[in-house]
Amino acid sequence: MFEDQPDSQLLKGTLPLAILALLKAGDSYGYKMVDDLHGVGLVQASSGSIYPLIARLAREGAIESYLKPSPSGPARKYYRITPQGLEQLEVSQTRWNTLCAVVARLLDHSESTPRSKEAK
Amino acid sequence: MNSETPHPKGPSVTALDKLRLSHYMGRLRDSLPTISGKAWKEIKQGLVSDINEAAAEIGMKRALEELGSPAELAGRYREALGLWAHPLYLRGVAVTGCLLAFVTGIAASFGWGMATALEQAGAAGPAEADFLGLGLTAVPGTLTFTFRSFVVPLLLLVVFVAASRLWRLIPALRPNQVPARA
Repeated sequence: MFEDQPDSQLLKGTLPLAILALLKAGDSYGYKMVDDLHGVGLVQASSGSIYPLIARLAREGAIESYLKPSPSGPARKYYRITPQGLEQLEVSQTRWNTLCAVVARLLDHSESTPRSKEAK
Repeated sequence: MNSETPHPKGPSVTALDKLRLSHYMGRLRDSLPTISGKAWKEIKQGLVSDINEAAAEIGMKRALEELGSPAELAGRYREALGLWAHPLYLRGVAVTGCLLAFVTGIAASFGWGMATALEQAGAAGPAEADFLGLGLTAVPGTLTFTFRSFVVPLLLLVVFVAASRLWRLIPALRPNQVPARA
């Protein structure tokens, strides 16, 4: 069912990048971020993993929070990305792109190179 | 949803739901004994709001189930925020207890030796001595000894526990556990 989903370790490593990318697009709150991540296909990203990560990013100073009154309920806690967070996102994005390129080359190479008889 | 989305009008939050949430948050707090009050307030503020938001769409029971058990969630918060699972003062108390046991053991050996020496010397009355804050009374013949006072080690223990609590209450004294910025 989840064959096209990243495994949990891969997801764990990329979630901070995903959250920072979401917040770069606009301020958001925890539940909406969970919803948005599920919306783009990261359905394995559980709320129980995302909320602690948000707290970590806030502690690191990559994001900051503020309360915003809601038209139909209690005030929501919103998060916005900080300049430090933008910098972190840029670095992470570069690393991610590099890693993707390397792994893609490796996979291409393994597909185009037939296995030797010894290996069989 | 966008950032101006009103709160969803799903299942209404019942008194039982509020009780469930309160119980969940209580257990989560209990599982984070080393978190500072300010950091907990920050977490609670956002989490309760988000859980209520989820509960309005999918119901409180499922919203809490999706978070995992309070212990699991606390573990993830500890990992994310670099918190210890148990208060450090408990480690301090344990270390102090071990040290006291060690000192008591040495004093016991000393007292035993003193009592043996008295017996071999043929002394009649008991002999008293102080050893590392412990008062010893060795009685010849029966090779027994008693501790006259535990006041000094107990006082040390009380001072240690008090200092540990103070250390826990003042975030500035804990450079590795500053409250979360949010």
